[in-house]
Amino acid sequence: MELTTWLNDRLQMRGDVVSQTLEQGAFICTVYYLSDGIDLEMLQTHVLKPLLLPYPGENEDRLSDILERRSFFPTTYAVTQSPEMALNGLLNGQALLCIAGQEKGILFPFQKQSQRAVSQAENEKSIRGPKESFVENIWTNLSLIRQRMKSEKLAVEHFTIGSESRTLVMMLYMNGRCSSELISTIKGKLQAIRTERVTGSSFLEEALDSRLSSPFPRMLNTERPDLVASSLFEGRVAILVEGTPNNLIAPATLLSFMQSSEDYYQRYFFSSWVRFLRYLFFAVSLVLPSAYVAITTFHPEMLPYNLLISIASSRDIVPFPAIVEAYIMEVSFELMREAGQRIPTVIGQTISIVGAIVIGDAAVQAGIVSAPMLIIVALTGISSFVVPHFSMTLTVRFLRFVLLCVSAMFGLLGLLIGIILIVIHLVSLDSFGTPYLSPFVPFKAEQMRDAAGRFPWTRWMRRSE
Amino acid sequence: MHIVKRAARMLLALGLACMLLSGCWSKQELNDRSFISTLIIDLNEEGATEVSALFLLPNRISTGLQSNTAGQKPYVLVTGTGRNIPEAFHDFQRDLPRNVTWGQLSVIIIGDRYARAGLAPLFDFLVRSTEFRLRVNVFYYKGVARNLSKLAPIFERFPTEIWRETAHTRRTPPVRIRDMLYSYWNNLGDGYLPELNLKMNNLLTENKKVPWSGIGGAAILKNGKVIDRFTEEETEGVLLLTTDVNELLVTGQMPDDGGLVSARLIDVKHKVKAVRRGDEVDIRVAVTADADLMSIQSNLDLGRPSNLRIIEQALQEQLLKKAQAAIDRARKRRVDAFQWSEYVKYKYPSLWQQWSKHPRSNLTEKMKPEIDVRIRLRNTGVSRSTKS
Repeated sequence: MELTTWLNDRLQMRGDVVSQTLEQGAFICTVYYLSDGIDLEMLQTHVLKPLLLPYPGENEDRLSDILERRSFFPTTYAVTQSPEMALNGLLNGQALLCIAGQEKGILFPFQKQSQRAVSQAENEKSIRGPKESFVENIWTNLSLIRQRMKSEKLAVEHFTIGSESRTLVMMLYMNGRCSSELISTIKGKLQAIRTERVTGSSFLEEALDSRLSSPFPRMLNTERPDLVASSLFEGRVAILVEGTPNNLIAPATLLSFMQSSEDYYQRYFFSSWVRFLRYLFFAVSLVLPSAYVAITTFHPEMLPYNLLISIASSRDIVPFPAIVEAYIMEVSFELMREAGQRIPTVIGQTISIVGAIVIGDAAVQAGIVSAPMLIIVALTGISSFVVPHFSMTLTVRFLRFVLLCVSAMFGLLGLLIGIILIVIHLVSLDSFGTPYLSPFVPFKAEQMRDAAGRFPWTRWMRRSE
Repeated sequence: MHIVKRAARMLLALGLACMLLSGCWSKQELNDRSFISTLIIDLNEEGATEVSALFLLPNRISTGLQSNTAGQKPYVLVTGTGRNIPEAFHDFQRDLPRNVTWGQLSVIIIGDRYARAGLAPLFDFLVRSTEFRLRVNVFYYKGVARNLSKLAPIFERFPTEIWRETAHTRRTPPVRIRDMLYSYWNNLGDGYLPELNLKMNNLLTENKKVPWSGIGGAAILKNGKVIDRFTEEETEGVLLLTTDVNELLVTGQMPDDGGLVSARLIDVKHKVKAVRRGDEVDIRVAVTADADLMSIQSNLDLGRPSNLRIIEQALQEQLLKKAQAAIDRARKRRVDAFQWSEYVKYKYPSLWQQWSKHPRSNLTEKMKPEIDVRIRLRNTGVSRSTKS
């Protein structure tokens, strides 16, 4: 079937597709493109101009010039093998040339897509490291990564996922460093996805996850090209998704959620110290309110004499049980955090001042909550942001409520059981074949160079082979 | 959907499991608890036990910048009477609006009459209760002990803290209930109890005489009963023999002209060793300490090491005198106050076997204490004497 009619059939509803027919005697051709989606000047100089010039030879010569010798247009172009390919190319923003009587079309890569400039990383800030972050355009993202690794071992594989959205997904890895098992698992899973559209990298994260009941994320998402590049060097796989400034890295262990890119840009000594603090406050943000409630309601004898007096005296006029008090404060803290994301930045400051005064000072003054509880909740809230990756922060925020509940019911015993259950779950978890707690469990001594702390680069950086 | 179903099933199972545990709800809010900080035990003239508990009152404690409770004491003493300690305790507990928590108990004071009648019922009560720690300090008061609670806690918020600090700072040899229970069940039940006293102190800044609690000597325990008392001097000797003290002031006299010399002892350590000689056992106590000279009335040239030895000698003699006095009194009353019987028991069990028929007479006659005090004067301040 002739391509022009096949296309016209399918594009009746597309008001944004421009078609222009050129006739030169028997040689009739049609140019299709998305309005405002291509570089018109390129089209004019490289396609229309050669076509409109009178051709000295026969039409058959002209056809074979175009389709076989590919010497007709002074630009790069692709000849489509199937009508679907021609349609996809057109809808992807390429200019399509159809020649009357031909089944093959010609695609010109003259796309002009609106895109955001590369800007500073907002969620994963760094003081000394690079400031660039990914944007929505997948090609820009790819080039950001390529700038950091010019190795020919970098493998890039393309997938188109989504029957209607037709989202471009790229899988990146370093040949030879990445286990073939990992590559084939991810590739297989990507190919097996049957969906209408891909909403973003989060969709793929869920689609690739084989154990969705776990609250722990098992793929790292990042907006930092340097993090993706270094993960590739470490033998991991990166997945870029068109239209998302957050790209995925797999496998991800608990450790990789505790590593911040800043760790690698500061001196190892301080990086190690900060990383230690991060583990400490990770534990604090998970456990502190639960431990407070458990100790004050079940085991007050654990508190030193003077501390008990302070806590008891400030709790004395509070009308609620400690657990209710804790839930009130934690939930209102979550509320402020959640609202803070939506509040326009202009009035954000005002709201946060009101929140701080109302929730903090006034609640204590009115005797609705006690000052120690306020301190605990504030400390917990702040320390949950020490975890550098937001997806893990969400997990900690959620698990804190669960632990709070069990420790209010069963005291420290309940808290310990809760922690043990979490540890059991973590030990059983893996991310694409890598145990979630590695290199701690199972212990791998050689990976300790970049685990609890960071050894100096010179001691462990791979040298070129 | 599968996950949602599984999660729902899990939650249901957890909820059901929790329902089975509904009887385990042992939580108690801080607002519903009252905290005992000191337990005072007396015996009245009719022979009934009087138990007084010093409670902390969180509702009267001002926190932070608010000070709305001026003039009100943040503690209260409640007394009950009964035939034994639990009965006396129950006598006042049933009137309290809050549950009693023992976990913060840190001081027990025993009145003279109760102590002389024998501490066995108290030991029995202490060893059965699991609610408080074994680190509770025990004191003795020569008189009706609950009168001690009249004191004005000028330096601290609670009287308990004043008493507890005397043991913490080791101004008096600290005794914890663990020590007492140990000596009562393992050894002869002998020991000593540091003494608290109460006097009216005229404090000019307070514009009145206030009741003031300080440290005195120590009561001597023999088989769980108080029979005698170490004087304050002797108690310092006890301190040297039993406790490693961080800081201790000692004042002695120079051998030549009798001028006073004072030094601050730092890191006083003691070591006890038992050495058998035939049928007898030598108990060798080595006390070592560093000292800083604080004042001296003498013409000695402190630049010369030989003169320093003279000062050290004078201080050592002073300490030796105190320690010897303590030992002498204990031997006179045939009391194993320093638990030295234990050294014989564990090092020479066969000898202990022979002694065990008449342990007290054997401990007095066949055990020879030898005390060796070594002081090293490490700092003299200005290395020149006062008069030159």
